[in-house]
Amino acid sequence: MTSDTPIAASPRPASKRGWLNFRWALFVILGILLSIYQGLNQAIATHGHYPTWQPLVWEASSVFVVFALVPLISRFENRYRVDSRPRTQTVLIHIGAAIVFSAVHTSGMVFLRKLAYRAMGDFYDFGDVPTMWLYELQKDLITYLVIMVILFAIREFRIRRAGELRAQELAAQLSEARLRHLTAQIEPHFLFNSLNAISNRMHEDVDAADRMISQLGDLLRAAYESDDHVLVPLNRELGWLRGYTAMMAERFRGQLAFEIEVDPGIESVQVPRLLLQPILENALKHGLIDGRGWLKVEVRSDSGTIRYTVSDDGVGFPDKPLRRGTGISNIARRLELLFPGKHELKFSSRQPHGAVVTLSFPV
Amino acid sequence: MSYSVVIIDDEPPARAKLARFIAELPDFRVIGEAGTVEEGIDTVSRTAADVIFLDIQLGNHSGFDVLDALAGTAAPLVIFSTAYSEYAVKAFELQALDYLLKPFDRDRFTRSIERAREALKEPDHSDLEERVRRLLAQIPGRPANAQQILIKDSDRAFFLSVGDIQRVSAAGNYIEVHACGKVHLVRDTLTTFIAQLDPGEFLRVHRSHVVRIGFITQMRPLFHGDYELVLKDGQTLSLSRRYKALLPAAIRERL
Repeated sequence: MTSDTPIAASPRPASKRGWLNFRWALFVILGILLSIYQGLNQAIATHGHYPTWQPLVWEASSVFVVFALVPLISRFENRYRVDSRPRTQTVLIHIGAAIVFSAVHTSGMVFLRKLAYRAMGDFYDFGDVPTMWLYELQKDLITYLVIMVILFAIREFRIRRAGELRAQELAAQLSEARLRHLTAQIEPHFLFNSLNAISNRMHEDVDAADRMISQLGDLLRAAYESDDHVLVPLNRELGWLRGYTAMMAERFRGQLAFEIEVDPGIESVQVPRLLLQPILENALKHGLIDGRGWLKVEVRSDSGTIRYTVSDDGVGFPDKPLRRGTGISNIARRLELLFPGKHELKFSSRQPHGAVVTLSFPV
Repeated sequence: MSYSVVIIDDEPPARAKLARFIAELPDFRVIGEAGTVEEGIDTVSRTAADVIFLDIQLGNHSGFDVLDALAGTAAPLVIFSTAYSEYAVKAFELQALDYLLKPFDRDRFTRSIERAREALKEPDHSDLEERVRRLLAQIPGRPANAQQILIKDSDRAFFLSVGDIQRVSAAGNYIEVHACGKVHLVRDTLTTFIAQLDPGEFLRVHRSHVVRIGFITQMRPLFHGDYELVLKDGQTLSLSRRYKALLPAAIRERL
């Protein structure tokens, strides 16, 4: 029987309200500038035929309606993305949407113009409706296409930037984990106590002492590995684990027992590097104090998911909410970056005492 | 006659190694082993060992906790064994008796044992106790020393302000506490009593004398490297070579 220990969720980033307001202001200013620019151009082109306010009203009314519709179009495009499949269906949907857009744009525009003319004591005549509507439609199809291209470009830019940031952070988190790993293996206590245990063991059993030296060698080699692969084959992750647990079992012989169970046939599956090390380190430091007890690591594969379970019969988690150490925060963050929303990191208590850490991710 | 040894270390191979080395010696024998602070305190106080080999890092605890719990009792000789410790270097400047850095070999172990033999031949270990007392005071996170000490005089019990104590001397089964010109006779041992005093303020200058630093006015050389201390009240105390070496350099120069 296990009971879950809640872990405080990391707080959401600070409100983006200020930035949003700024972007809306920019959008409105852009609309006004575009209206004036188009209006002035129109006024120059039709110079002498109409009072200057009329071309300005034509263009401003048009731009106003387009800009008012852009948020709706953006939401619609998000629902039926231009790059989504099946392609024919998407194109048909957007052709339909473009015609609706044109109808709404033209009628909104004409309505605004009639209001403006009336305000100036004049009367606005749209002209022959079918002809004018077709004229507006060909312009609106181009406008709709331009809006689509801009929305698509903005989204692609954001995705790429987020991907770059993610890759950068992942690299930083990984190098932190590697540094932590290196530090743990060449940590003076670990190294000198291991050497001392070997110097004792060789008087009892030369072969066992030999094995310990080669295990220590493997651990140091793993620590000095300098490639920056994010994912490594499972057997590399397990190689470190086996060496480390064997060394600790020798140092605390008769007090500390380790068990490692791995589902067959998954040794070459690619897994994130150094996820187990902080968990084991925690279990030994905070759970199995005085170096007594047992610790079991299980690696299971289940329909595309790898699950690590690390359980011990130590003192377990404190009753108060857990405060994550830097090692655990690091693995939580790396899992989030590698498998957003698709991973699990759970801390529970064992009865009558002890701790269980479960970690799973897709492969 | 052989000297009894207790080994305190959280790693069984480390204990096995020391036990094997000691088993080869004719004049030392291991009478107890412990893997945790609690076991260590229990074993040492139960067995009255002559020597303890003490690991500084015992799981999440410190070997100094064992010494702390034994403070004020006639402590055994302490030989530290450690893989590495941040405060070890600082602490070892005051060397309780000796320290072994793991991994050590038989030669280094033998040197420690020779030092232990020398020290055990001396009838008086009070200077080594003094080293441990000062060593413990240097370790961060120790509780502050008392400001008031309960004194049980011949006919009454009362609190004496530590600031008033000038010196404390052993006198048979009693100690004399000199404070503000008065002498209180207390049934206690010097070792137990001074465990309550701050080693930064009170120095043990002789197996029978502890004196407040500010109460010393002069240090006069005698023969054989021994000295005589002159106190503010005009009295003199002898300072043996062994204790002179224990005085902080700043004080030796000032006198």
